[in-house]
Amino acid sequence: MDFIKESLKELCSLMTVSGFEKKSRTRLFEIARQYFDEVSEDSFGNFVFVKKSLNNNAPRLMIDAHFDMVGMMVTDILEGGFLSVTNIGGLDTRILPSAEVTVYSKREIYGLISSIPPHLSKSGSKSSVPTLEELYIDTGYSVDELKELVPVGAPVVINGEYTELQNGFVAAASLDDKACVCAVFDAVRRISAEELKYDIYVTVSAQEETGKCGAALSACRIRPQMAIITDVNFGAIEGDKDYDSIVCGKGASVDISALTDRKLTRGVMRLLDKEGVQYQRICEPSYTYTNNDLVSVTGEGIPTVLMSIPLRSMHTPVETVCLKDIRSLADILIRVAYTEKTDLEAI
Amino acid sequence: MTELLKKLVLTSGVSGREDKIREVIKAEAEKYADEIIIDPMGNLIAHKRGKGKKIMFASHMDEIGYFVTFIDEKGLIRVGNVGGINTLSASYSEVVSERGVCGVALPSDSNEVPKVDALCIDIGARSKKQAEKRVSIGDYFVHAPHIKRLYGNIYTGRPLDNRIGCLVLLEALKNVKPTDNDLYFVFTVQEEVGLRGAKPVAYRIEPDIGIAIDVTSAGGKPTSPKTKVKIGGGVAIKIKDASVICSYEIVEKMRELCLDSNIKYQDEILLKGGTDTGAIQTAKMGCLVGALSIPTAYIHSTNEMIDISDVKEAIKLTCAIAERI
Repeated sequence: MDFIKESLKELCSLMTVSGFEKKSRTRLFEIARQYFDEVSEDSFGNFVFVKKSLNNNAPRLMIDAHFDMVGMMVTDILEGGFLSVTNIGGLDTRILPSAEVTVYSKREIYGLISSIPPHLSKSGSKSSVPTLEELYIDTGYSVDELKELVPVGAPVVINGEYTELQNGFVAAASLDDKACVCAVFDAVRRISAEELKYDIYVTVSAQEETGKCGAALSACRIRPQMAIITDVNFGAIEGDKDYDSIVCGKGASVDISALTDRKLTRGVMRLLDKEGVQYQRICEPSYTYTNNDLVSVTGEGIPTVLMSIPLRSMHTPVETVCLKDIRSLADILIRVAYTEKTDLEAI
Repeated sequence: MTELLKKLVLTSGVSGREDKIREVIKAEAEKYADEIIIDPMGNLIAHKRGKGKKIMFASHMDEIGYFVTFIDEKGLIRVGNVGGINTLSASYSEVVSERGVCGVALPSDSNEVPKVDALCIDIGARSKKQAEKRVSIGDYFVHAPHIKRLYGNIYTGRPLDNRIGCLVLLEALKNVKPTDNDLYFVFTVQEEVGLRGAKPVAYRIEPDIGIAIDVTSAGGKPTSPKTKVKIGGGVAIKIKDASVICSYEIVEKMRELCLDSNIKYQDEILLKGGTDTGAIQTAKMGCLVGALSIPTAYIHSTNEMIDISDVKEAIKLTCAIAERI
């Protein structure tokens, strides 16, 4: 668990707002070089890490986890020293007023999202959620200083420092999808090349939150015989019991969807059943709203399996996961990597 | 105003029916290109060969309009829209069909801004029989093309989206200085119906860098959207729109080129609306992308408005990118 804790904390500290993933390439490469035979990147901002099997003709298994996170972008510098912003990805604006942020420009600038006090709010607006257009970042800088420091287009992160809760639960911004990046790294770190049945192509992909194109571009380059997409999914939470969700702490899930490969998905489940590995199941009947949806229809079509880590409070600075579920996903990935594709299909 | 601009604006071509406008562009482009390719979708590629970086410029040549869906008993033409019609502006405006039949676009209820499917076209026919002599199901209509100078550098007309981009690209093709770069000047189809044309061209060319040239919404008018971009403020360098987050390396490089060459520019973040940029970035294995925009007021109305000085800056920046990026 120490590897998971340490690397997760480090991954969550990296600024990876969609479209700016390459800004964190150096540190990611440093981590990945320890466990992979090859590291590379493309112009879109996808990172591809390869771990080879000892077999020269091994099929290519792509394992994807996205690197990017939701955030904001500076649209204007206003008189009085405020910054206006637009969203990058599906931000939950309910949590924004008075949130702490970091503006990434020539230097990292600490800021707060200002809010209109209840005394001054128009009646009616007190109970409604402000839109992003009504919210501004306050840094304390003057307008002239800001114009010098911050270009229009600078990315902004909502601060959510890595925090340990009880019973192996942790909270941080961007656990969607760094929790999966961490699980994939943990799996590859522990895989033995002797038993490995595939050449593994790990894609730490860009811009899942803004169109899901990154992983598909990598898939087009890699042309894998099989792909496993890993992402977070809604973990059950008090107050939302009706939702068909998976539970934090009970292991990673294997997802069932029209857009995933039926044979392989069933094969993975039966393999885990046979070996007595705990996992959960969740059904996403048509779209999965993950990188799976474009990867599966890339090129001539790629058979995919989708796996998820349950996560609470998605797209907030306090996204919460259980470390056990990260370990669980890594364990499942290792078992699949040790099983021939034809065996999976035949189970 | 150049004769070329006039010709580009006055030749119609709704999405999927770009034949006529493509011929006008081809006649001009073949004077300066090493080769001309027209792909199966109808995209026109003007290639200037080089051994350096492969750069693809894309400017869409289609425009919004209508297809005839049926003709009713009274001789009114029922239509379906092609792209995002501004129905407020469309109401009671002049439209013209591909065969040159003129008509008026009518809202069904004169007191409200009509929904797009409520618009129909009156060509003056008094019966279905009369109307069918001049119009068939599947014919297209566009808003009557026109262009005129208003005051100083300000021009109004339609469709400036995106014939003004086509003008920029043709002028750049003509004026670009000799360079090692392998240049593709592409005039794309079907941008207005979902960026459909640019993707297969980018798939074919596999550029290192893709640059789209299109209009962007300008602010500063009572009715305009919230944006910093202003008509007359110079060429706009796109940072983001609804279809794309531009590669920040290209944004920075474009700013540098402007500063080096004294090109007047402004930053652009467009909150609504997409461009070919997004389609090019995500074709095949992807490429670096940027976009330059001509600030335009009243986009998709019957009177779009530009400042010709911005167009000149856009031509300079396009050449600078082609020669030096």
